Amino acid sequence: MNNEEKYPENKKSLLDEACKIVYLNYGDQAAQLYKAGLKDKAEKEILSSLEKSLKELVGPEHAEEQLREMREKLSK
Amino acid sequence: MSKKFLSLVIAVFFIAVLLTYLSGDYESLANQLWNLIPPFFAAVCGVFAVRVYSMNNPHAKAIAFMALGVFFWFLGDFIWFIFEFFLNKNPFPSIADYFYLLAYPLLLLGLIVELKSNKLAWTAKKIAVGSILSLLLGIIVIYLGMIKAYNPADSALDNAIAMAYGIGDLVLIIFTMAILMVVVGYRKGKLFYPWIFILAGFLLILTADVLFAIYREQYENFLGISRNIDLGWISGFLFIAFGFFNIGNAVKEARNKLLEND
Repeated sequence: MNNEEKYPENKKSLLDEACKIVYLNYGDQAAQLYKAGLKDKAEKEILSSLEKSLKELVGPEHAEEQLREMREKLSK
Repeated sequence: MSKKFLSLVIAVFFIAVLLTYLSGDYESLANQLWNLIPPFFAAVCGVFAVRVYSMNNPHAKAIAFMALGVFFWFLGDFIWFIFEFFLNKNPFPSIADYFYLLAYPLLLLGLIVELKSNKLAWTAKKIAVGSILSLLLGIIVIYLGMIKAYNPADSALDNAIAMAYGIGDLVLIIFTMAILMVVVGYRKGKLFYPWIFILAGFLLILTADVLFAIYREQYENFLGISRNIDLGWISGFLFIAFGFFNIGNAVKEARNKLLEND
């Protein structure tokens, strides 16, 4: 089973980890608003919009490093 | 304030400074006032970036330390200005040097916090490039900013203060090069150019510091290269201001876009 297939079982963890990334890169207020807006989102949607936005802000190298770390945490 | 408007303000300000510096009365009180605006403006732009991230954020803490360091440089400049134009005393050495020198640990702290807040993998290539650049620039700073700054005719205190700047610049160079390696990872991202502006600003200021250490007497008497030294500091602070503002602006825009999508 790859990581993406595992996400549905771990939506809470995914939300927490995604919010940590938003907090680190976009600030505290953004993380709170982001978390509130995620409740009804599908896991893939959460990841793809975050990945796109993060790549635009910090560039592919930093974005991939942070997302890789997140996926590692979620797969544990 | 938009990015274009800020760029225009900075460009107009810099051209005005250039024209003033090329005019005959460079050493007048009104013209020397120019020197005080850029470091203060850079600190204000730093506060803007900190507010966008909010204070608990590690990047905000890093920028806050750097902005505080830049503010200390402004305080040093302000005290220098008072000594020179109102007290008619030689500002070097004076209490202004405490503020100039106190800025270094704050700037270093900012760079260290920024380094720690990034999760970029340190490859052997990045370590090698960062080390070589630090070594090359470090040798220049040690030779020009410390060895050449020593003047046997000056008192031990004067020499110690002059060389303390060299040590501060040397440590700042090493961490600036380390941050450069992190910033290279921002390529194709909106934070890349703002950080490049900040690092270029630091390098301009450090270059002006080294020139000041070598040509201190000329500078104190408004002779020769002194205008270029001032221009180095002024453009350095303007670069930092532009960088800080654009970090805040980029994060704000990206945040709004991300939240809109949700």
